[in-house]
Amino acid sequence: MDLANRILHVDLSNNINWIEEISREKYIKYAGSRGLAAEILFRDMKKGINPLSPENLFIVGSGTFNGTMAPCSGRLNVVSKSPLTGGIFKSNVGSAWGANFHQAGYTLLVVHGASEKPSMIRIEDDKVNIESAEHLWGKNIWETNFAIEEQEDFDYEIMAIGPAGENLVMSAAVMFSFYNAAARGGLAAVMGAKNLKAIIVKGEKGIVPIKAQEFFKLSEALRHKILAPASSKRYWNLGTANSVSAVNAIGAFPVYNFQTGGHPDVDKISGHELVRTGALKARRSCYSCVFACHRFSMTEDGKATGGPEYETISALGGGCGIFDLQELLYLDHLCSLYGLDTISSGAQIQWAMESVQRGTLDPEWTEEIMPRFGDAESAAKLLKAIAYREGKLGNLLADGIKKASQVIGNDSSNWAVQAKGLEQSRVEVRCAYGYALAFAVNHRGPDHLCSQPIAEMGSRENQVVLIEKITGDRKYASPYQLEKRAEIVTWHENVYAITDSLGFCTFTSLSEYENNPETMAQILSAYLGIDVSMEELYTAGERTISLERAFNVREGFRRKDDTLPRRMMYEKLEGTPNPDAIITPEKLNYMLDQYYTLREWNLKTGIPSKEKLIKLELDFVADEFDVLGIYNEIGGTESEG
Amino acid sequence: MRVKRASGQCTGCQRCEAICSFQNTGKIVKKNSRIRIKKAETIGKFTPNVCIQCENAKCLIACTVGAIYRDDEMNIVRVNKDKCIGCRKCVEACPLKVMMFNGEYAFKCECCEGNPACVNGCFIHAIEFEK
Repeated sequence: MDLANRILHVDLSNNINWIEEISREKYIKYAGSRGLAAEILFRDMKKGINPLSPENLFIVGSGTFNGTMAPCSGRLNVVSKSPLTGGIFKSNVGSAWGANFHQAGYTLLVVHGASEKPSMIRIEDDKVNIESAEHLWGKNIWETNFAIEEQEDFDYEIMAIGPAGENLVMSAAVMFSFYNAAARGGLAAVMGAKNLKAIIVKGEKGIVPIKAQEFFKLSEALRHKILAPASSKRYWNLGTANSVSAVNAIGAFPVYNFQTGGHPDVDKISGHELVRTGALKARRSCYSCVFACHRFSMTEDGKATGGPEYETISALGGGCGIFDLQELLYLDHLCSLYGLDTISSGAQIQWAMESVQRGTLDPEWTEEIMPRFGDAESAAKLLKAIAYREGKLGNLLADGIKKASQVIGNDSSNWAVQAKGLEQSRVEVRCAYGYALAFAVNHRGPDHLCSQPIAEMGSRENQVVLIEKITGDRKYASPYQLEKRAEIVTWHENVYAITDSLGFCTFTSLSEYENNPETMAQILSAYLGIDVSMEELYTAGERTISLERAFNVREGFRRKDDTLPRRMMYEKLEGTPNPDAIITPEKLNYMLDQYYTLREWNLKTGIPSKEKLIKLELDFVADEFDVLGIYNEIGGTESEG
Repeated sequence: MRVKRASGQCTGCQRCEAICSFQNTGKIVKKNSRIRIKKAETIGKFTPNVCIQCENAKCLIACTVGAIYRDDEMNIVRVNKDKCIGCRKCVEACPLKVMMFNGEYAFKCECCEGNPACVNGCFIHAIEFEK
């Protein structure tokens, strides 16, 4: 057996590294790296650490099944304290990096401290070196990859930051190879602050599950199961952009910074259009993936991108009023060069465009670049200005739209579509109340990457069956109701957490719904050689969510932070099938009450109750809350406030 | 018989590598795989590389100790690891770079005795089995 169950700690300040082993029981407790990383961040970091200081820990965690033939198991988790939100932040990404890291015998890499000069970590099984990266500093992602690959017989996987990460930009993405991004939360800025340009890995130790033949058989069975529904082909055919036109048709595709929910020209930048025009050149996969939703596209003059994804099409396309496919591809290309999150970068540009539209940006901000909806040239200039913190406007936006709107004032926070500091992802939550709740309670901020309750749409029979299983009635498979959203979101959050930890793609579990806690528990049981029940695994998800919540509670996050961008709560969206397309504070509060009650968190504050923490075997969290006096503010330890 | 590239639609998932190494060595690790995916990310090209069982096999000709031989019944080129002395001349001779070396002996695709695991494991049929 070789379960790759080691944690590699690397201390950049002292140029040392050491190993910690993970017991099989710990895998049952957390399922894998997302939960394990949350425990380490809570355990080894104190309250109030500056995310850009050497004391912040930067963790990269392979999924438990990374590097194996388990289908769609090539996703890994980057976890740290976010400089954008000030809370814990998990960013999930696919590539072959996690496979190699896992085959090198590791589940987690924990980076401590900071280097004095630009550095790179090289990992080859037990050999771990911190090398100079002075020759790489300043290079964009492509140049960085090319420069590292120059070595003879190069056979490593590369993760790196671009100029945006180096310049501590809050929308800087950690890039894996050329295109795959652990994009959100500014985690690349944490690397930048540590002077850590890249981490390269090659794994030759290998993995041997304890019940290896059974693991193999279950992996093959799961592969056939998730590919059986005809709907699974849409990832291959059109990628994540498969639904652009359909969502636009029902008025739920965010355009002009969420001012409207659709535009006739959105079809010009859809997944279908990518295929029709021949801009799509190839389909790409994460490691061991059987969907291949990633794209490889090129502009007519040869600028390549690894997208565009649905989110990018909305964030840099429709959201900015840009409906020209060639222009959109070029903007996506720039983000992969600079190492930028397309969602937050797009949101920053949209906020600037709307500020110009409303006349609230004084000329001093727009002397160099005048952002206007529909103007791709100004968007391209702004991306560069943000990545390099060039000029007044670029430097302003590089801190995120929450801070930018505080600096500009003039009511510009009204159209800063963010909460907890994170720019909202491109889901029109006014048309789906479960999503609205999920976005509000997400530890990261308002996005779809900790819970995707798409089953509430009830658009396929297996979604309706799941909703019936969760809520007891098929009638709740409809997105315009407040009832049972708490149950639906809770289930999706818990399953999302275990999906992430195991390294599975959430499309297997929370879009196709063919990979579920039962199938995941079977494969984990074969991997560990210990019977893990689906209830135990589901609880591992609940434990992870509670631990992430606890980290943020320790930092001062409370119920008031579980909110939505103002636009979602005070501006009604017109032109959708939902006659009441707005999430008023009353609606949100109703759902939050239900959600906290279900989670056994305090109603007034959102703090997990002591009893619940102990039930989840998170005694160390409860103890620390006692020491810090956190329970005093809710007048005791009872769950109902 | 041989495994060969088929659709040209390889997506670079490398699942074939995981399955091949497991089937042939019991361990999941790229370095044990008989098939390797070459990834050219900047041009979006992913190429499965695996032995095509050349009629005029350069590896076989290069071997000075008779460790590489043609199995006429299955019409494939095989390595007798007990005879292999680890000189790696075959590795150098292979024009497709699909003769591997594990530190002790050379190894290559021998078609999993007529039921290649990589082909069975590829969802998009980027490789196929030719009997």
